Amino acid sequence: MRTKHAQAADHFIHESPSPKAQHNAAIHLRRKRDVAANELQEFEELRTRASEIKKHTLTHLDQYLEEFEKNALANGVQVHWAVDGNEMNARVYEILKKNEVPYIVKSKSMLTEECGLNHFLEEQGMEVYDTDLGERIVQLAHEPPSHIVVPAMHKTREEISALFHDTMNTEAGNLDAKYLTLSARKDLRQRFMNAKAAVTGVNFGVAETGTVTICTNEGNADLGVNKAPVQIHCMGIEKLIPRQEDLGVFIRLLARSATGQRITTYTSHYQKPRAGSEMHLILVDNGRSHHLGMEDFWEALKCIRCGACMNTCPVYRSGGGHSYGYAVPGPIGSIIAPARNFEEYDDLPFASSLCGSCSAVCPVKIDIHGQLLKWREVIVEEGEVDTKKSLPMKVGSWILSRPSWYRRAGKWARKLLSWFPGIARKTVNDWTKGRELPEPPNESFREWYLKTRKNEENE
Amino acid sequence: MKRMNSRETILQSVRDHKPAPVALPTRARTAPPPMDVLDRFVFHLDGIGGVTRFFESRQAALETLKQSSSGLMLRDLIQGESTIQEDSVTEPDVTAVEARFAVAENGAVYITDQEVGHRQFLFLGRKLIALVPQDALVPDMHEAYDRIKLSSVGFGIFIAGSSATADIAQILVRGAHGPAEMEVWFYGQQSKVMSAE
Ligand code: SF4
Repeated sequence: MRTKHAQAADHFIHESPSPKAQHNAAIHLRRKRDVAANELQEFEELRTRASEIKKHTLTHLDQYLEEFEKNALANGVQVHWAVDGNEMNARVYEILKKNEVPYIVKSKSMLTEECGLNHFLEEQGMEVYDTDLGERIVQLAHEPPSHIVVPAMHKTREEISALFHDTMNTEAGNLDAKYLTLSARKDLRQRFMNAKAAVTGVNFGVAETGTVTICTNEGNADLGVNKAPVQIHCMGIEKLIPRQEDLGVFIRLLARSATGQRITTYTSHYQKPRAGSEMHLILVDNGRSHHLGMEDFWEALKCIRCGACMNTCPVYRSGGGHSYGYAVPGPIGSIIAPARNFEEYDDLPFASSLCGSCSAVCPVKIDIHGQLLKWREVIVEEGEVDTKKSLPMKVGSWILSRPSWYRRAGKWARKLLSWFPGIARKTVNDWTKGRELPEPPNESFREWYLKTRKNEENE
Repeated sequence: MKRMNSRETILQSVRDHKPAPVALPTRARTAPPPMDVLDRFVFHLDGIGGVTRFFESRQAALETLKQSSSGLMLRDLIQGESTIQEDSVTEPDVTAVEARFAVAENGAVYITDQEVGHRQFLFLGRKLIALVPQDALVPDMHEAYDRIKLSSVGFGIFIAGSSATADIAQILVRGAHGPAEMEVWFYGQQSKVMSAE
């Protein structure tokens, strides 16, 4: 059973050994993003353009999928289609078995995370080596990623050092990031060199040319697929863009939004397999086509997975990425998850302060906080909100709409709170989770205003 | 047969669910601001830990390559004068490759199958040196994509600086899986064209 966000976040804040690590890392990326975005005069224009290109592609997705497939096939790529995660996993396994692959090297892919590919392959007795350093760290720690760009964001150097000591026998207590990184490189080197198959995700598929575009800083995806005789790319159907020239818009936005880099170190375009090797492309639906039909919510499919909305989100930063209990955490995860599995993730739209910062930084202009609010409406209408949340809300809005009641209620609440501060924590527990209740003021703003005005008039 | 079915199922579901059509944007894109492209390039490559060097001619650059890598293991993808065996496992000290052009706004160079031969060579070894004619410099990624034709190559890549990660406590470490150092060697004269002034 998945733990609901409020509970998981509460646990993270109060029980995790380093609840601030994630916050510090995320705010650091947010600041770097601002510098890179502000340096570009046309940044806002790029965001608008990116949003329009994505909307166009999604509203013509069948045509672009067919065009993409046609061009990829002509390039000698083997194209597969998977209705859901199980089918994707089965397809990958089939390819690996046919080629008698003993293990795979894998680069970061939120899609394979979503579909549980690692777990599935391991159950079939296949070894999986995650090669992105952050993913390798969480793999060794038997944890899911806490961020889509920086998967081990929640871990401190001390924790990673201890983990590497246990799993790779590195020097105990050595906290040097360079030493730790190069130890992981060394540990994976032979795996890369002898790999028979490499699996990657896809950042952008270009319909016009059948191109698979992959952006990384480590070069792990490229080393993997260019060493191994079998390369497999798993791609969600929403990752398409129409033309080569559209890449200009998205490549300029992606790294700037994600980490404040101007471009990732490696931006690779794969059209054809190398001589004597195989290139497979698996196009995965897994709920996306259905999501496309949700009038208020389909634009979430524009997402290019930059992680900017997470970095800027106060709820994500304090509650941590694991609290969402979904492959994609943060604001974007909170609007995607209920579209894919409403019953399971109906708490996520409430994991937000609705401050709107996510929408303000999103490079493809998804109205994230607008969708969060709409999801809340849907959930309340469906009667999915328990009375603990909805009853105080109803009482609250009834009082708010009646000024005299509001004044009376406020006066009594202030008195009550100063006499019995624990009362708020007990009665509106879920609401105050993760929030510090400020000292109640002795007088309301209205009382202060009336008094001050009277004083001023008297002067 | 099953595969055919999944394909049809997905395409049909997309057709059934796709929202009302939205047009592709047709507005002309914003022109890049006036800039000294060479100056911008050097600034950005420096910012990501790369090194830019200048040579009078291609010949002069190749001479320097030869001299500076004497005693080192060199994989020379330009003239084929490698000092290591051409097998795939050996990791050289230096890999030298020709790049088609460079991008001012981010310090990247563009390389394809045609320049590198075996794609994996770009990701092996300690240092990557890319040779670029000095007049082959574009201001931004829009012009970069205008200049290339993905459909005519099997593989094309932009490389900006060296392999890097900051996955451990945001501390930047170079040489995560690929080369730890990157140098761009410009040769010849700078083009007079500075981009939209
Ligand atoms: S929703 Fe926007 S900001 Fe968030 S990951 Fe996706 S593209 Fe980035």
